[in-house]
Formats: sequence, structure tokens, C-alpha cells
Amino acid sequence: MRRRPHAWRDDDELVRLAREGDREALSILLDRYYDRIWAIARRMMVNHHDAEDATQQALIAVARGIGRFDGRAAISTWMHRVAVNACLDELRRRQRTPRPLDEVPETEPRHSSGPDPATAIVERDAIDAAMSDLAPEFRAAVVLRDVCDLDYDEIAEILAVPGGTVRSRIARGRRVLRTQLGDAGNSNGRELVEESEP
Amino acid sequence: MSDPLDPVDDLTEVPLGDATLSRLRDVGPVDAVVRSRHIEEATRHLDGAVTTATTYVRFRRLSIAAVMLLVVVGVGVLVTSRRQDGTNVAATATERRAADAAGAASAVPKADDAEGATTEGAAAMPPVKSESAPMTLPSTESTAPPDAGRDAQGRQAGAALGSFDNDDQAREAALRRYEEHRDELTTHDSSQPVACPLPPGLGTPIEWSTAVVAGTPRLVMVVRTADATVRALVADPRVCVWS
Repeated sequence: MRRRPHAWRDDDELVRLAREGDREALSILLDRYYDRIWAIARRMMVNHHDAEDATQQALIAVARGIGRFDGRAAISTWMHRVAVNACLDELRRRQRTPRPLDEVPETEPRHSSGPDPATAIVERDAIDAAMSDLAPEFRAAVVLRDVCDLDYDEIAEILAVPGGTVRSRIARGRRVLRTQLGDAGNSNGRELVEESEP
Repeated sequence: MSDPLDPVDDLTEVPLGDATLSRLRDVGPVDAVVRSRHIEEATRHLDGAVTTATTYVRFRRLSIAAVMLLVVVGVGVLVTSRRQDGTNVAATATERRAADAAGAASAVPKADDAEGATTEGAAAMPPVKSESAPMTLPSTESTAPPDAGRDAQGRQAGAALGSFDNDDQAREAALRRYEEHRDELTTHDSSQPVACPLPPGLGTPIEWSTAVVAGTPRLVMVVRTADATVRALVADPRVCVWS
């Protein structure tokens, strides 16, 4: 097994070393945040291949931008911001690029969340379809809240929008998801607040 | 018109059910090979960034070092140059002092060429400020007593000689002016220069002249001391210190 001399260091130390050009430190840092970046990308980009591309772009953006990271925000906040921006950039780029009709999102049989693989695939497709109905900005807010479990202040900082905007985007995004997924919500979910639609 | 991304009427929390949340969070694992490739590729970009930054930093450091080296070399050359100049000046001064001493000993003017020497020396004399010249003349046993009006006239004449320097034209001009004011310079007391009189105590002036000693104009004065010996005194006309 390969020995990783910086594995015991905390994020700040790894950032400092990475800024000095330490590849090993950056590698460990990216590995620590990889799952989170991947989760953001997977839900933002809807299909698996696009998510891989976005993840790669996000990691490269981290590598290129780590020298400019000034430490004013937490490294985790900065990583989330880079990941979201990479996904938004990738979405915009793909919107501008015409895609062949036969390029349909792959249904990945590589992972199964339940006992029935067929059901898992159907569920995943349904989630992907529901997410694709959300505008990217709404999608980002919902993903950061419900996938990454960040609080509103962090999300506001990552998206660089006011807290009220974050709440609004999350609420509207969830409403679309509920409609698309036939989810009426339940008391075991997040805090339930009665809606007061005008 | 409100921003469609920032509606103000949707600030209420809309919860998702557990099942939906679970499905949403189930993003599946990433292939280990893909993960490894992603990280490796990204770290390669750090190399590029760091290489660029390192190159820039090295270039900047080299530039600073080169500038500092140039400054040090420049200062060294300057200091060496000044030291050499100082050595030359010191050597010249030493030579001049030796030449002065030798010149003073041999510069006792002869009576028959005193006037010629005076004329030649006056041409080589630098300007002498008449204001700095003492008004009191030493007691003398020769010639007529000093006259205040003549002293003033003499000072004016001395000032009229102007700057001599080593410039030929200036020298000629000074000679002409000297000739024009010669009487005024010498009539009241020909035994010593009006602009550079001998202070009391050094002796009684007999006669004076000018000489160029080692390229430097000097006043030379023959005096009779208190013990009745005759001596030659030399003075730099710019400072009028006789010795």
C-alpha cells in the first residue's frame, strides 16, 4: 500500500502545502472532498457522464485556484463553491453545444440502492428527470441543502446570494421535486412548515 | 418586476419526504479508477500552475540578485575610483608642497627683474578678495605711509584684475587690466602687494613679486626680519597666509 505522508494533516495544513506546490498534499485534499464534489456534480448534471466531466473540471479548478485561496472562507465552503460553479459552467457549455439525438443519458447498472436493480434504475431516472426540470440555480440550492446537508448561511455564502433567496430557491425547488416525484412529504422529513401559498 | 430566481413569495420551508431525500442522496459510488484518474489529472494542473509561479518567482529573485550585484559592483567601482583620485590628489599635494619649499628657497627675486616678475605673476594670480585683505599695513621703514584713499583705490584695482584662472584669454585680459591699473596697485607701497599685505611681526618688506611654483601662482616677498636677516616668504594669494 502506498504511503501517504500527509494523510494525518488537517485541511488547512494541506491547503498550505498545496499552495507551495505539494502534489501529495493536494491529492489528499482532493481525495477528502471527492465524494462531496461528486455528489454535487451527479445531482447537478443529471447524467453520469456529464457528472464525471464536471467533477474533473471542478478538481482541476481547485488545483488551479488553490494558490489564490485566501483562507477568508473555510476550505470546505470554497470547495463547494468551486464544485457548483464548475457544474454551472459545464451546464452552460453543454447548452451551447448541440448534442446528437442518439446520445441519451446512460442508465448506470453499476450501483443498486435496493434489492431490486430494476427498481433502483427507475428511481434514479426519475430523480434525474425531476432534477432536470429545475433551473440550475434552484438545483444548486436544493443539492447543497438536501444532498450536502449544508445550512442556509453556508449555502448563501457558496452561491453568493442573500439567505432569503436561498430559502426561496430551496422551497421552490423542493416543490417541483415533490410534484415530479409524487412526494407529498411526511413528518419524518425536514422541518415541516405549513405552506401559505398566496 | 421580481427576479424569477428570487421570488419573494416563497420563503416557506417545503420538506421532502424521507424516501425522496434518500433517493436524492443516492448518487452511487464512483469507479475507483475514474476517481484516481480525476485526482491525478487535477494534481498535474497544480504542477503547471506551480511551475509557472516558481519560474516567475525564480526570475524575480534572479532579477533582484542581478540588480543588487550591479549596485554592489557600481558602488565598488565608484569607491575604487574615488580612492584612486584621493591618492593622486594626495600625491600631487605632497609634490606641490615639496616644490613650494624648493621654489620658495630659490624664488628670492632679483631687484632688476622684480617688475617683470610682478607683471608675469600678476597674470597668473587668481582673484584676490580685497575685502579680506587687512587694512593695517605693517610698520615699514621704506616708502611713504599708507594712505586710506590709495588703499581703497588699490583694492578697486585689485578687484578689477578679475579672475585669472588658467584660461589664456582671461590671462591676457587680466594682464591688460593689470597694466591699466599698475600704478594704482603699486604706487602707495611697492614693497608689498596691496591685496595681500604682510601681517605685523614677520619682518619688514623689502620687495615682492609673483612666481609660478609647481604650476601654482605664489606671492614671494623678501623681508628683513627683526634680527636683520633677509628671508623670502611665500604666500598663496587666495588665502594670503605668509610663511
